[in-house]
Amino acid sequence: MMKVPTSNGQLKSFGLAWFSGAKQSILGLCPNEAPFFNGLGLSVLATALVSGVTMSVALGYTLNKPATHFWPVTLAWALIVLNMDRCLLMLTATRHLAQALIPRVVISFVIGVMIAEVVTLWIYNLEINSQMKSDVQQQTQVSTQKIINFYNPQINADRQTLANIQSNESALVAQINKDIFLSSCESNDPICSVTHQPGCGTYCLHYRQLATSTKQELDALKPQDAIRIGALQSHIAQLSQSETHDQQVLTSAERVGTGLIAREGALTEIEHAHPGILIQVWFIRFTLILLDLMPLIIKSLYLAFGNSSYEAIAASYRRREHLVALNVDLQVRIERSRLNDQAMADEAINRVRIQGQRDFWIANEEAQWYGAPSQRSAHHGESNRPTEADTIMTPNFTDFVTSMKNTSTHESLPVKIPRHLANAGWVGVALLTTLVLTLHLITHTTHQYIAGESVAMMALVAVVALAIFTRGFRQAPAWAMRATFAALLLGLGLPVLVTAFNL
Amino acid sequence: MNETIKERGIYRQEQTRLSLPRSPEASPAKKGPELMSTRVPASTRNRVATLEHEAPFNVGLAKEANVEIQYLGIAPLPEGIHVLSGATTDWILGPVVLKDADHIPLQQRRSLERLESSGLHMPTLFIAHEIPKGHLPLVSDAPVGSMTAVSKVDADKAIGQIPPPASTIEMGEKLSERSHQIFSVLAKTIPVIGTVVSAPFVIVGAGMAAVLDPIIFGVIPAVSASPGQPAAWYVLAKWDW
Repeated sequence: MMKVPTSNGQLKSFGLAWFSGAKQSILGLCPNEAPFFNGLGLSVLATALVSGVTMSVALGYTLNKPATHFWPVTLAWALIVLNMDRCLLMLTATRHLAQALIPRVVISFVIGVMIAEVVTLWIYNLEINSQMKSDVQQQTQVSTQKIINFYNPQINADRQTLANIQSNESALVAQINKDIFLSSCESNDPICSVTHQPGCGTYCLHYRQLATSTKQELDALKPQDAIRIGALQSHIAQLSQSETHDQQVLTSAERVGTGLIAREGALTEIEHAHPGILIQVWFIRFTLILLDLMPLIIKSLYLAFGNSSYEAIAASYRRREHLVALNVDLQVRIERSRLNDQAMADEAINRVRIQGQRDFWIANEEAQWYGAPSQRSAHHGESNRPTEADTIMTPNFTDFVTSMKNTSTHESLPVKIPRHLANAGWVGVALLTTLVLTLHLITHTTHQYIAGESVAMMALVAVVALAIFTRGFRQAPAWAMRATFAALLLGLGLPVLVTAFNL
Repeated sequence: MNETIKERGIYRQEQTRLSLPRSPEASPAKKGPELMSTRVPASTRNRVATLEHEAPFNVGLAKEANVEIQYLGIAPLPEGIHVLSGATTDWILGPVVLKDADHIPLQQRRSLERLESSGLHMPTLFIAHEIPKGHLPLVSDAPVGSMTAVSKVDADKAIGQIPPPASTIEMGEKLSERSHQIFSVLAKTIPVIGTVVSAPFVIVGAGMAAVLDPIIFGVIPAVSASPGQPAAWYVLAKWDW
């Protein structure tokens, strides 16, 4: 941990400042900035830890396991968030930071909503449990009654048939016993005999015959009845088993009904019943999102309203580091220019040499014909070269083109958006906003997924980003003008498409 | 021999006039004869002759890179920024600064990049900005073809800011018109949008049409890039804003 004395002799520690992306070598030059960056670093650390913990709580709640089981996830997620925030905080230029904030806000929003949902369920656990218990009891009663109504009539019918068969057999046995008794009475007991004579006479034989005939009938029925009784008993057992199974399934379904989706549904019911809870739920969501963005918000505010020595020194260091690149660039230019000049000079020398030879031959010819010396020799040795101080300073062609490559084209310059096109952009934003709000309202009311809701949301985000980029549809380059017109078409066409998809 | 060279074209007065459309009537290359009428060293004259000989080679080099450049002729390098009086418009001619490389149209950028890649070497660059006649009171009464020195402040003021791209303005107007048509259709069914449509149709870019041209000159000095020294002048790029 680096410690540097301040102007009043106190030692400042920069340990936490590392988490804020601050360079300790620069902080050493402006130790009075240390408290801020230490605080910012602590904020980054806290945000990462809170994010990690909420993530593990969310996972634990979702998977119905203790949150402590997910400590590796907590650690990994905290490290990811910490690293992401630290990298973003390293962007010191205000404009760049604002641009970098956009993806971070999107990430934070998505993760925030995800985690907030589970954390909200966790916070309202008691109310949700109570609601679910009430719902489950009601559902169980209805379902049990349905099962009973389905199986009991069938079982009762089977049992009735079984009783009828058994009753029929019992009646036949009773009839046989009665006939045997009467036959025996006629044969052995004159008191109870109809004829009052001993021995097996006509009545005795008649009753014996009846008993034999009934017994034969019983013997004939018994195998059939045994099969029917077996089948009925088996059917009753089967129905009873199915009833028991269905009861068990109902019980397990109740258990399953305590999962995340059921809890989400219970929370929605509570929100419907108590609108105040809905506000609280959104408040918690935004709190978590803001908490997630806290370090970046602090840094943005500091850059916007503070006069940071650290940023000034960091910018100077960056400019100094750029000098190395500039040095290499200049060396390349010098070498390129040298090669270019060399090539041009070689070509010029060649031409001059050839031209000189030709002039020499012409002069010789002229001297031969006219006998006069060449005028060329009259100017030998003349020179009126200007001094370097008089030189006109302009970039050479290579420098000019290199500089040109680093600038934007004329076509990319923004121009004022015509009034009707600007209106088109705003109408597009209004239509898409209305569409998104309507879809959200429908989803929230009916609890049914509507195809195209996410597309509408993305379109709205894109169009709002376009409105920001064009400063409220005032100034735009060519592509943004096309996009502005497309926003109107999107606003008009998307509701129709969404309706068509859902119908 | 020098007479021969003279005849061959160092003093080609016809060549020294710019033949570009909407080009400055009083081009820098028009000063060639005046330059050569004064007494100049033989080495300079030989160098000038070489530059003249190199001109077709440079034009050919550019042509190989699929870029048309125009050789204007030999003229002395002007000292500082000058205003060239023309019949209908004036031209401000001055040395190029790196800021002039900002926002060059895409087509000209590509051409200049190809030229640079082709190996064409221009040690010195000048730029001419066309300005409306009478925009600079200093030269309002100057005869056509005359060159008058002007301060950088006055020149910058006369040139003004880079105008917005005309193609984008035109496209914006077209899209605005289409939006207007859509609103007109919707206005029949949706009264709210009708109030938006009822605003008068304004063409924002109408006033931008009268923007004049710049020209970038590539200049190869004969001996050194000093004022008054002869140099070969080429038109590297020109465009309408």
